Formats: sequence, C-alpha cells, structure tokens
Amino acid sequence: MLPLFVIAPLLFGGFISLFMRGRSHIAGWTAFAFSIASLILAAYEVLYSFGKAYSITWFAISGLVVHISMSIYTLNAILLMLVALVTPLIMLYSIGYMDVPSERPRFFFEISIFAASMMLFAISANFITMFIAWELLGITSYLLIGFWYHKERVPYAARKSITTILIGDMAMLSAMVLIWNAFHTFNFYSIMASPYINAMQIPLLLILAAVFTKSAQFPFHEWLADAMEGPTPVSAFLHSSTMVKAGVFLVALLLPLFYEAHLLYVILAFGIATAFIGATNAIAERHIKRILAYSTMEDLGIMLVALGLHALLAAMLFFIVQTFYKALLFMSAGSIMKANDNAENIYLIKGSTKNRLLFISTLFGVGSIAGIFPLSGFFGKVAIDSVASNIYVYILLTVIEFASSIYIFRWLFIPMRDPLTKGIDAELTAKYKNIPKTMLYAIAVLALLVAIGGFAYAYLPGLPYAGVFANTYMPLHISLVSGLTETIAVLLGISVTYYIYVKMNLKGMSSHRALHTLLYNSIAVNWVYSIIAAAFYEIGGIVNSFDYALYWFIVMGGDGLVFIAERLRRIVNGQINAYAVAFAAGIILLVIIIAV
Amino acid sequence: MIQILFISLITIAIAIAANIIFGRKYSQHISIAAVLLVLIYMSYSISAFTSGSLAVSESLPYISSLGISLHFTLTPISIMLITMSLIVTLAAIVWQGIRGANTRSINSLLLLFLLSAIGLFASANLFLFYIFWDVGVISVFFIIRSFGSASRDVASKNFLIYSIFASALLLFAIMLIYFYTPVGSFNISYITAHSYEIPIDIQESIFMLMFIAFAIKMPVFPFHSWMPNAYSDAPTSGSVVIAGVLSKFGAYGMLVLFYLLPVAETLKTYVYAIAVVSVFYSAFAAMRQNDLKKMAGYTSMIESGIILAGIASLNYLGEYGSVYMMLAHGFTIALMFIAIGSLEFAYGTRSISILKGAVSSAKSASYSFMLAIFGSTGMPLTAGFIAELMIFIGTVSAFGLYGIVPLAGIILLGAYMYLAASRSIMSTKEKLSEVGIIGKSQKAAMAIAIAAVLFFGVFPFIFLNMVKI
Repeated sequence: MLPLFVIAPLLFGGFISLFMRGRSHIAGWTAFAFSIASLILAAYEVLYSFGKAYSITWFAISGLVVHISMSIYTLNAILLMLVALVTPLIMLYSIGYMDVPSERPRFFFEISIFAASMMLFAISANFITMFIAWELLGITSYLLIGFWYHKERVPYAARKSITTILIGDMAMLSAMVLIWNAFHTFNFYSIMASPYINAMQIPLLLILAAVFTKSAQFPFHEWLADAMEGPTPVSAFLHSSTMVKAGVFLVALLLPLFYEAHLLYVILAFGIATAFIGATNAIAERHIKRILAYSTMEDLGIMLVALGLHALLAAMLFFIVQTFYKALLFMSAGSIMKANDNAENIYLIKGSTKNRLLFISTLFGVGSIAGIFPLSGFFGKVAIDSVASNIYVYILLTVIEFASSIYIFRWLFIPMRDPLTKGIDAELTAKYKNIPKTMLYAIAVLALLVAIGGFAYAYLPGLPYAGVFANTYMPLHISLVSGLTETIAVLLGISVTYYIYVKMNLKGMSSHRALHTLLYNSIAVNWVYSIIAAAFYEIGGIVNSFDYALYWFIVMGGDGLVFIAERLRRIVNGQINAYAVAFAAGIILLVIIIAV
Repeated sequence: MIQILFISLITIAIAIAANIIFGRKYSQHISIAAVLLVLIYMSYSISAFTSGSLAVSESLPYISSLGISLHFTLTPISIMLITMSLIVTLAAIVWQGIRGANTRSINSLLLLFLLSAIGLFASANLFLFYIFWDVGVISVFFIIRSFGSASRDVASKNFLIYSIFASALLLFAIMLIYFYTPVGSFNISYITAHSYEIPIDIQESIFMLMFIAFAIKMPVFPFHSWMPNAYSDAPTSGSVVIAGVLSKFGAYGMLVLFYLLPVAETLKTYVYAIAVVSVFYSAFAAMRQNDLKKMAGYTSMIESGIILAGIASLNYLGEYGSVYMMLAHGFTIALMFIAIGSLEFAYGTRSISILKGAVSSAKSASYSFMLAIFGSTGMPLTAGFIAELMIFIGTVSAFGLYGIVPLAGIILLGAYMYLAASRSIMSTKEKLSEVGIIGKSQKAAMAIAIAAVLFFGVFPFIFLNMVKI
C-alpha cells in the first residue's frame, strides 16, 4: 500500500467535518473516527512496509524530474506513529474543549489538514514532498493560530508566525534549488549517498535557517510564545508532535550531511543558546501557556544540542518522550484555564488540585519534564547529558535542567493555591468537576504514555538507521554520574521553588527588576524585531516617495510637451503680416549663415 | 487537420458581433458560451498536441508583396498562455453578472481583448504580433476609460500614452529587424534562424527598443508608472484582464525577444539585475499602499520581475518556468483582484485602514483573498510553486548563488500582504456596514479562479508533458 494513503482518512474526515454546519455536535466525533482510521493505517504501514521506499513521478520537464517520494524507514516510522497516536487524543480533547458549536466544523477541518500535513512530512523521502508538507504545516498553523481572529492579539500573533515561517520557506526553497543544481536529485538518500556532499555548506545553512524558523530557535523564536493565542488543543498539538518538531526531525534526517559539511557546531551553538533563552524566559513568565511555550523552545534546543553532538539516538529518545509530556502539560493547562474562566496568569489561577484525575496526570507531566526517575523525561534528558563529552556543554545542560525544574514547579505550585473566599471556592470546585470527560480521558491516556515512554530507551538502539554514516552516530547510553547529577539538580530546583513560592509566598520577581529583565529577554528580542520591521517600513516609505516622484516627473514631462505645443500653436495664427515678417527674418538668417 | 486557431478567432469574432446585436438580453450567455467553446477547442488541442495530430502551423496569404501572411503557430507556450487568457477572461466576464446596460459593451470589449490575446500568443510573425498588441491596448483603454472609477480619465490617459510609446518603439524595432535580416522578413522562426547575420550594434539597438516596449507592458521598474493608477481605477473585470493577461503580452514578448536575438546572451546579466531591482523596488513600494488594489498591483509587479529573471536565465527551465509563472500569476492575480473587487462590492471600500474583520460577513471573498496571498507567495499545490521551482533552478544554473536573491523579495511581499490581511480580513467580529451582498456570479468567478490556481498546481504535467526537449 502506498504510504500516501495514511493521510487520506484525515483529509476526508476534515472535509466531512467542514460541511457539518448543521450537525456540529458530531463534527468532532467524525474527525476523531477518521483520525483513528489514520492511526490504524499508519500502524499497518509501519508493520508491513517497514524499510520500503516509494516514488511516483509528479512531472518532468527538461531534465527536471520531480517525484513524490515516501519512505518508511526508522525515523519516518517513529514520527509517523507519534503523530498518528497524538492526533486522536487531540481530537478527543478538542471535542470537549471547543464548546462553541459554530466554530467546530472549521476547527476540525483545519486541525485534520494540519495533522495530515504532518503525517505527509513524516513519510517524505525527498525535498519536494517534504516542502509540500512543510508549507502546508505553516499555512494551516497560521489558520489555527488565527482561529479566534476577532481577539485582540490574535491577528498579530498569526501574522508573526506566518512571517517568520515564510522566511524559512523561502530559505528552504533556495536550498532546494541549490541542491538540485548540485546533485540533480531531490531524494534525501541519493543526496546522502552522493560523494560531493561536503561541497554544500550554503544550502545546508539555508536549510538550518528554515529549521530554526520552524522549530522556533534563536533568532526566530519569538513567534512560538505568541502562538499561544490560538486554541489550547492547537498549542498541545503544535508543541508536541507537529510543526515545531518538523525542523528538528529534518535535521535528524539529514544529520549525515551536516556532519560531513562540518556544521554540527552551528546546530550545537544555536541549540544551546535557544535552550538557555527558553529556560530563562519560562522562569520569568506568568502566562500559564507561555511558560510551556518557552519550555518547548528549551526542549527543542536540547534536541538540537543532542544532534549537534552527533547523538541521533539520544535526540530521538528525547524527541519521543517530549511529545507525550508536552501534549499532556498543554492539555492540563487548557483544562485548568477552562475551570478558571480562561484566566491566563498563573497568579490568578486557583485550585488546580481540585480535580484528582487532572491533578495526578499533571503531576506525571511535571515530573517527566523535570526529569524524575523513572518517568520518561528522565531517560530523554540523561541520555543527552551522557553523550555531552564537552565539559562546558555538560555544565550548561545541567544548569538548564536546574532552571527547567524551577519553572515547571513554579508552574505547578502557584495554581495549586485555593481561593480565600469560601463561596468562590465552592464555585471553583463545581467548575473543576464540570471539565468535559473527553478532555480528561485524553489527558489520562497521555499520562499513561508519559509513564511508560521510557521503554523507548530499550528499543531505539535495535532499529536499523538509514544513511551511509549510521555507524558513526554516538551510541545511546545512560551513565550513572549523569543520572545522579541530573537528579540532584532537579531536587535542588524543587526545593528552591518550594522555598520561594510556597514557603515565602513570593509574588514573583517584581522586586528584582534587573533580574527580571535579564531573565525575561523576550522583550528585547521583540524590540529588535520591531526595529527591523520599522527599518523595512522606512525603506518602503523612501521607495514610495521615489515612486511618486517618478510618476510626477513623467506627468510633468507630459505637461511640458503640452506647454511647448501650446506655444508653438500660437505661431500658426493665420495673420499674413506675421508670416511675412517671419519669412523675411528667415531669409536674412539663412543669408547670414551661408555668408559666414 | 483542424485549424484550431482560425476557428477560435472566428468564434470570438462571431461572439462579438452577436454580443452587439443580441447583447441587450443575452450578453452574458453569448460571451460565456463563446469562451467556453474556445476553451473546449484548447483542451482538445492539448491532447491533440501531445499525440501529434494537430496542425501546428496555420497560414493564409495576406500581403504577399511584403511577405506578410496570416500565420499562426501553436506551441506548448502559446497553448498554455491562450488557455490562461481564456480562463482569466471567463472569470472576468462571470464576475460582473447581469447588471444594467453596460454589460453588453464591457463584454464586447473583453471579448475583443481576448481575441487580441489569442492572436498575439499564437502569432508566428511580428506583423501580426504588433497588430494584436495594439488591438489589446485599445480595448483595454476603452475598458478603463468607460467603466473605471473616479479618476479613470487620468489613469486611462497615462495608460494610453505609455502603451502608444511602447507600440512606437516596438514598431521601430520591427522595421529595423525587417531591414537588417538578409531577406526582409517578419517571420519569427526565420528571424531567429538568421538573426546572427544582423550587425551586433543594430542587434543591441533592436534589443533596447523592444526591451523597453515589453518592460513597459510587464511592467518592470522603471517603466511602471502607468500601473498603479490603471490597476486601481479600472473596473474589477478590467483589472483582472490587465494584470492577468495584458501584462503577459509584455512577458511573452520578452520571451520571444530573448530567443530572437543572439545578443541576449551578452545582455542577460544586466536584464537579470533590472529584474532583481524591480522585485525589491516593488516589494518596498507595496509596503506603503493603503489601497488593496494598488497593493495587488505592486504584488503583480514583483511577479513580473520574477518572470523577467526566469527569462533572463536563458535556459529551458527558466524559459518554461517563466511561462508557467505567467500562467500561475494570471490565475493568482485574477483571484486577488476578484476577491478585492468583491470586498469593495460588499463594503464600498478597499482601503486597508477602513476594512476590518471582513471574514465575519464576506467569507467567500476573504478566503479567496487569503488563498491568493498563499498563491502569490508560492505555496505548493498552487501553480506558483511549480513556476518558482523551475524559474529559480534556471536562474541558479545561469547566475549561480545570485539566482536565489529574488526569493528575499517574496518574503517582503508576504510580510506586507499578511499584515494587510490581518488588518482587513481578521481583527474583529463586528460586522462592517455592508453596501452590497456578494452574489452568485461573484462567487462563481472566485470559484473559477480558485479552481484554476489549484488545478494547475496539482496537475502541472498536463501542460508540461506537451514540452518535448
């Protein structure tokens, strides 16, 4: 079976739910059913077509032969199964979350297309297929982030994301064009098998730029936090298995190329910078979802660090476990917000312990992201620590882990407080009880996945890895020292957070303005963005005035011709006397010219 | 062997006559039927061309003393461009719906323009090329002059002066070619075969003259000053055909010119530089436009720059990429102008600062506008992507790394268009006061344009299979 068919149920389901205006209550269930069908097809595909590649010719002209190529190799299978697993859970969660009937058809349509593009991305084996999925992801994410287009900051957030992503798209297109001219193929595996791959630093740098826009890496990272304006299921999806993972996945897929072109240190440097920025911002942020967004940035940064260390397996392990805990945490955040009338500030959110199922599941997510043994996050983080041979990288990673345990426990502890008034407390308890069951079931399933995700550690090394340099990857192992260091850092983080936010009951860092500014550096980044935008706008102004000037210059030229014509016309006035005078003057002039 | 071009031209001519006679009642029906009929001929010709059972050359003697005949050739390029013109004109005709007494005259003019487009894209000699060129210009002039908005006088005058200037240069160049080819000829394939015998300085002069003439029409910086007003003051159906088809007259002429004279090989770097400057110039100029139609105009100028870049690369991928771009841009810009026209129809304004939250009441127009934006940034599965891919592979193989520079212009373009969209399409749920309700005919026109944009993006092989290189 052609792997392309795994996306067919999703596309179909999306279009069906779009036309369910009249029966919007079942639109979500329809999309859910079709996403289950996609999951089954994906599982079938992974089981029975593992290790196979497929290709169909799309069009050909003058030597340019463009195929739609797909493959089910190990990396493809991992991402495909992750997306296929998370999609139904997102759909299930959204059924409860999207409570405005008129919005449902459009929402489920857009999110189905989004999931389908990510699945297409997962199975793509050449740049063309990948780019189709890549751009569709960008555009559907734009539509989803801008879903509540009437809210105040939403158009800005959607525009910011699509503009950043457009930069990446054009970088990717440039890279594709350069790669075609160098290799005359778009196929990933043919390119990796080609002997000239060290001669392509520029295209690879362009691909990295595209990856950084998609995966929200420095300096293109700010759209991710603003993208929180979209509905929560979208955030859960965007941050776990789709969109932002696409960039990291592409680097993992093309890792042999980056290795041969000696670009791993670039990946490492940007990854560690982003992880640092993400962690610091998450500590200072107060928006319940933006904290998680900055945390995603940090996670992606760490994945790139692992790839930069040439540790594909460690990166993929973290890639898998991060999917589950991040989806879980976003879903918890969405549920807590729903019970608190969509309050976003963690200091205004109360009573997150009131729903036991929700709270226990959330604890799994929090423990996993902090890296507590034996939850899956521990394996992901420690596996990366264990391959960090460079001592500076190791120290930085440990500091980042310390920071991440601070922000995630801050995220957990502050909303745990109960409201002071009794009446409000009872009301809140009722609201927590009323969180739709579908949302809670999705969260519970994810909690289970978070708990058992660590088993991937045992299975990953046994899988075959395509690519010529597979044997040079750093092996996957967990060293005791790294595990202990990590655990100590986390425990330290928990105690610090507990001391500051529970014992001392501090209301944030408003008293330490300098520290806050240092940590919350996203303002500075946005300021730089706005300066660049303003500069372009100013150039636009200059060009526009020049354009006016050019227009008026031509209009004046036309007027000048008319003016001359008007003057010349006066000579032809029909008076014989004037003609005679002119004639005589002309004769005299002629005689003088001839004589001289 | 069916002589498809003569039949097409005669069909359109009959339709114009019928329009004038019976147009009071049946103008829309006659025009749409005629265009559909020719579209059927063309789809037949696509299949016949692939199987080789088509008269690729149709000729009738005309002025034999000068060696001029009514000579048409059907190439893959002309089939693509004629099909594009037909679909775009169809959308323009459908858009208007049946409204008042004007329908008859505007439809006649649109059909006349279509006639000139078909003739121009298929003409095998420069004489016919010139004739159809001027017919197209005149019909568009009357469309702007008679049906445009408030400042149509200035706009149409500017347009006419620029166009006549271009025509004069073109005529002069054609005469130079006629006198300097060994046996005076207007035949394009003959000239192509013998143009190396023209002295190099004469070739350069001819190139300059024709380049300016075509650059005015495309339009390319610095010959574009007629464009903003003409686009914004023309009626919607006029803007659609001007941006969609008329600008392709220039682009097609440029393509012919580059393969006509061997001197193009030495001048291509300069032309590429002009194209790049034009792309960035128009991207920056678009940033300060408040009128959606003017923004769309500068957008189309960016795409013209990219087309010129593709042509200047002087290789097959650049050539066919730019032809595919003409096609893609024709559909995309038609969709964009139709969407803007519908927004204006619904709200009585097309100012970015006044329009707000259009998507809550004018859904179809807003979504069409968004799709047009996606299309012009070259989203895969729209025709623009195929074109961009081919063009930039062509430019990179001709100019190396400099070949990817115009892509940065698309970023600027997209950035501003998304800004415009977030202001005018999104941003509020409150409904603006509507002055009109977008009717079935407008929606049908949008559907035609959307279908074309997506169809040729998903099935590019329909046209590209005709090309045998």
